[in-house]
Amino acid sequence: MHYPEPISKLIDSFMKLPGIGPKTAARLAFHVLDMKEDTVLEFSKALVDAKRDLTFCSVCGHITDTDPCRICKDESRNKTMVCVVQEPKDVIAMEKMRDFNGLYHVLHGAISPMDGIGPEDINIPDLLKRLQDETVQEVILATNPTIEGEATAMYISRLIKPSGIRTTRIAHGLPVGGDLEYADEVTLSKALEGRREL
Amino acid sequence: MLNKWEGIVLRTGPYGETNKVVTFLTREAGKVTAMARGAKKPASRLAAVTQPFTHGIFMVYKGKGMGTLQSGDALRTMRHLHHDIMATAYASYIAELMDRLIEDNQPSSGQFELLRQAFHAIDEEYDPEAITLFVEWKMLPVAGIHPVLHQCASCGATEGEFAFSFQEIGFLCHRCFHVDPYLIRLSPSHLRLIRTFYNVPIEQVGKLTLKPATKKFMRKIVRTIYDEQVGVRLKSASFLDQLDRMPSFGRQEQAADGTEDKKEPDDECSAPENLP
Repeated sequence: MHYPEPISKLIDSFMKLPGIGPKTAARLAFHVLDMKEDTVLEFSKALVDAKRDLTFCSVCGHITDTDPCRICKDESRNKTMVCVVQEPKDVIAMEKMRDFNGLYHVLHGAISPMDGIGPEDINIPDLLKRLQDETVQEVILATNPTIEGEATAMYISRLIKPSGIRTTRIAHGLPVGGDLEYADEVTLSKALEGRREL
Repeated sequence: MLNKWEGIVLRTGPYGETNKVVTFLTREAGKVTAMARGAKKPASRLAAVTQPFTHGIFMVYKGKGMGTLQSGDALRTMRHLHHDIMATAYASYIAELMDRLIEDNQPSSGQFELLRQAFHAIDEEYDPEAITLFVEWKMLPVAGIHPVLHQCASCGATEGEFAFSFQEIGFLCHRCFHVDPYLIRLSPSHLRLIRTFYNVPIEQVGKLTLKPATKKFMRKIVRTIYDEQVGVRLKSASFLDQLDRMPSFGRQEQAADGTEDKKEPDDECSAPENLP
């Protein structure tokens, strides 16, 4: 199918997004043609602004438009606890919970032996520098419960433990509202392992 | 057609938002790849069984193209492999080596058994570096390399001093040292150890107490063969090298568990005591 050049460029651009194939890209491109010019300009400006104005916080590595980010600047937060996560998306997930009032550290990845990603390739050195400041008393390792996440947590805990800082790992187990009967053996065994007294 | 295969997960990769592509080494069908739909969702029953190194029974629907993983039951989740970074690193190396060398859909129960024994041994907290050396030596024939280890590769002699020749890919006796100027001299214990690595099944070897220097020596020989003859460079090897450079993770420290250098080399591989 031969599209006019502007449309085919737009289709190609949409196809660069994850999960968008040629058909969806064409549908989105034609939808853009039906949109008002103001809306399209606003949309394109939002894309450019997001790319230009967002940067990584020099303290925690989270995405931010001000440096340091709002979380790091917030004086009301508990600075003795640092929660280590893999991606900025994880900070947002934790913040939605509203139960955690400490600080974060974003690694931007996880150690993955199979992909050749080692400790030098993620944001671990900055974490170690942060921990030299004696205010931090606990590091919560909230990496994903995958082999990569576990490897990262193990590695960091082995580095930090000699310094005497309390190192904890988030619990694994059954999802809230889940059904014990349908849980797999690994999850059940992890849940049992992490049981606590009531 | 729905197949029930015993397999071990070699690697997984994301496919779209919620799916995974899983590569298994199975006892019945060799290396197979299957789509695990929804396996990235937190509540999926496939999420846990598709973790790398899981040994289980997998139900795979296989049509003409890539199969689809319907369900899986873990026989062994390899907990230690997930909870010790050195075990994870070496298991990743073994899985990547197997994945690179074994072709798809070529059944070989021997290769599966080698992987199963290696992972079970590491999971039982045997020295992962030594187990990895076993696998590397035993996978050489799969890579098309058949080292001559029962006699001199040049004259066929079985007695005398021996060295390892990368040119001849095997042992050379002292009478034939002139054949290869870059050979590596071997002590009688090294000779026995190489033969053990190559010939003896992992589960027939007793508790391994290899000295760090011996492991380094064996690793140097086998890695040179892979580098020069096979041309395989593994990503997980660079990860191991990164760990090596870190003071608290180096192989030397990890291996120096009381076996440090007083024993004769003969004691390095003790009598069979049957690994898991």
